[in-house]
Amino acid sequence: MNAQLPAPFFQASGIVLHYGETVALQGSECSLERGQILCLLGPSGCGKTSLLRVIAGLERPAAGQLTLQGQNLLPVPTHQRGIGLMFQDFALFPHLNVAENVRFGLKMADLTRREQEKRTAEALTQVGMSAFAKRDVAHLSGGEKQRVALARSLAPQPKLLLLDEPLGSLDANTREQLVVEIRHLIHAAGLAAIYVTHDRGEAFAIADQIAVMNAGKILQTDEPARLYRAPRSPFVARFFGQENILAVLTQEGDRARTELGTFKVRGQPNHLLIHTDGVETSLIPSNRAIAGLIRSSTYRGNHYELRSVHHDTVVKHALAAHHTRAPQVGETVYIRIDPACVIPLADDG
Amino acid sequence: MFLRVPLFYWVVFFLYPLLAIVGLSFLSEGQLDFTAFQRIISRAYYRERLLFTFGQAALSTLLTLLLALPAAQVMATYDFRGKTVLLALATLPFVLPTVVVAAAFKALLGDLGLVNRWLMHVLPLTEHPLPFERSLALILVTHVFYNYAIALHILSGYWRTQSMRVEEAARSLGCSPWRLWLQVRLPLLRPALFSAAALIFVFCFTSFGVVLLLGDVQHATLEVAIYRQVNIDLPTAAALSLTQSGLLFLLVWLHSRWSQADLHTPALQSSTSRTRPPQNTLEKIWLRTHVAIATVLVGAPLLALGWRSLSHAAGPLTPEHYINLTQIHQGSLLFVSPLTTIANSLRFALITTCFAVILGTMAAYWLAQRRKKRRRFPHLQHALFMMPLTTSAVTLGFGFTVVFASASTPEWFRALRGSVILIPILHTLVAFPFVLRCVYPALKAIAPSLREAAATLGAAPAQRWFRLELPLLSHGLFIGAIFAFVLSLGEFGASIFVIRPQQPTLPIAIFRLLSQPQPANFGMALALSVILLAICAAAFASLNLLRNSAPGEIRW
Repeated sequence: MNAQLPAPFFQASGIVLHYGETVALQGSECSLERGQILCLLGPSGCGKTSLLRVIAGLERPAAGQLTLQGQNLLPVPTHQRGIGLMFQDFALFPHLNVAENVRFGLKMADLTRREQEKRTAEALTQVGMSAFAKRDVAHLSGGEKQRVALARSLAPQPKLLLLDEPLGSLDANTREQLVVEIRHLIHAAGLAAIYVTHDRGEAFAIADQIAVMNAGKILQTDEPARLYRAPRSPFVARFFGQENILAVLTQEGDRARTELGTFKVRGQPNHLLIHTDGVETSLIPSNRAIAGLIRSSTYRGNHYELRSVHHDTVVKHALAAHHTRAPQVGETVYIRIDPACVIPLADDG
Repeated sequence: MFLRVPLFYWVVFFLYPLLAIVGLSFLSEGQLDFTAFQRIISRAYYRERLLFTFGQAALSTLLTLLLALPAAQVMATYDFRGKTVLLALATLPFVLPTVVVAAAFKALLGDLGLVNRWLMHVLPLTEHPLPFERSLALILVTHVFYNYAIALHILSGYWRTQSMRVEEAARSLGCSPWRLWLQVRLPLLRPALFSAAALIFVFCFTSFGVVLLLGDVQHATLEVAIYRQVNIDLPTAAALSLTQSGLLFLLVWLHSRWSQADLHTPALQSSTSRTRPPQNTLEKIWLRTHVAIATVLVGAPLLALGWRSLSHAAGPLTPEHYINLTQIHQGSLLFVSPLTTIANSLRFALITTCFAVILGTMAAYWLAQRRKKRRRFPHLQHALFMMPLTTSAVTLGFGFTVVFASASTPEWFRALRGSVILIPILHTLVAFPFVLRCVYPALKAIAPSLREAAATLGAAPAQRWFRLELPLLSHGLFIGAIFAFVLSLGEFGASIFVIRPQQPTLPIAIFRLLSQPQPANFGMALALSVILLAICAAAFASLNLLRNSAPGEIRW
């Protein structure tokens, strides 16, 4: 790290966490700036919730460092960290009504009664739940509970807000609607937030930065578009739905040879990704196109998703559906590869 | 470490006295000695006590089931006005102290009771015509009164889970009403019948207060025999107590086996509510008969108690017995004014409630912690704490007597003998498992994420406890506290062994007054019983108020 740069707003480095024999985190690192939403994305069991719990102070890491605004967080107990956490099961207090739930954190902060009431009302208005203030939390729908939980974690104005799969238990429609609202609310409040999910669509919709995790490690952190365009390892590529990963057979200078031909690359990658978006597909032969036989064809609305075999290699690619007939299995298909969409991949972690 | 206090309490005040009884039964001056047991086996009196104990328990169980079985069918089948009230009324006996119930039956059927006095007045006679006092019949009727509600609840509850379709199918196949009972209803009910029978048998087997007050030398159970032996022959009493505990353990074990094996087999669930109004005259007569039986069985003794506490036999109503309570009578068996005994009881009950709530809560946290850490034998500690509940009160009280009498007892334990907290300590043995039972499920139900959410919202550990856990446990704590309070108020069997004469509790005072034949003492005993009944009923009524309010959690 360059000593000249100011320290990031929040930083976690080298976090190691064990649950008994199992290693949950092995040297995870991430950082973010004020007003940014960082998304921890990965398959279930990859350690993203564990990392969140370490940041909140609910788990004690075996090693690593946590700083918020330059302050070392590790010795600070959970209730003094000023970090809000929104739980997957919402964890609304069953003995308190909606407004009392939202007010809980304000009471703990010893605000005046008037200030408590004002901020509770504001938070409920923000999430559109003012009309439910006196409602018993047991009688709320999933989406309503989610809004109350969000209002509750926003009300004390935490320095950092953590959200653990906050939409995980909701149906798809409510999820799509809420994810946009949450992004708007967090940005409007100028908060730094870390959002855990296993759903890449949700991550794209909400994040300024995405950190892809696997097996207790963060593999790559980037803006959503860069991560999608240019994954750096086979795991990340596959996680975003890419399949065309070719082993580099030999390399001479910047020319790397693979089963599908030779491509110009930077560095010494072990694998090359042929991004699906960079494969031009046609049922008609053309100059420099590689011919292959269609193995499967799946209709996806605006395109056909094809898998065809070229030089013993299965390639996944798409054929726009609006100007063609349905491609048949066994038919010959022709692909051309855009050199700009050939991405060098390092080995996984 | 701190949370282990309930375990230490259990070891010192439950296990140690129990071991002292075992020691006294088998050891004499450090040597193995079986003479106490030989005495029990060789003497006809003890054999008769054993037979009587089993006999009266079996008869009581049989009578209770015979009355409760048709009533359960009525409750499970028909809708009628006043059903809720009747069910609540039928539950009342279960929560009444034994001395109050004994007093109520004396007020109804005893020599000085309402029925005898009324018959003497009407016929007219100079002697009471019905010789129920000190008879087996009176003991049996009282036991039926006590256990009717238990049988009704178990049987009608189980009945409701059975499908109406089965009965309809049987009838469509030509089954007559009698054969419907014999070949369909009873076989289907068998698990519930066994379970209810075993439970009632255990209760009657350990009946002490009722038998002591309503029986005599010939009508005495093992428990009464133990009580009578204490001042005569301590080792024999210990051997009797051990025998009784062994048999009781066996019965409780059988009961838990039966109820686990059968009651949980999934019954045929009825798809719709099966209760309905009676449809023809026959059904109406059947329904009214059983409503009348239940009302008379439960209502008559309690009404008689109230009436006789306000009257001299058949004469006009007078508050005289209540006024007498404020005075210390010359030559009275009580060394204090009867009113003072109310204050004693309330004080003991309040201390017991505090002890039980604190110990019960600590035990719940300790068990929850061990569970979380996945320690071995997760259920063992739970079962240990529940043991005082399945041990007879007489054994608990007698254990203390033995410890006090033993030369090897540490001085600090002996010092408890004169202490105000001795009675609460004894009552807490039975009361704290109740609190544990109420609090532990509530504690387990608190999701870890709630505590974590409170922490991330800035609540320090103490705040988390006061603002989150305590409110969530309060329901269970309140129910447990009421149980502890009422248990202590009515406790008789254990207290009578260790009570100091100058500090009698309400039940002890009622017992002493009832043991005297004078009408004035009888009247005061009834007045005190009414007061005790009123306090217990009020405490339980407060639970009903709570039942429908508040979010959360414990339904019982």
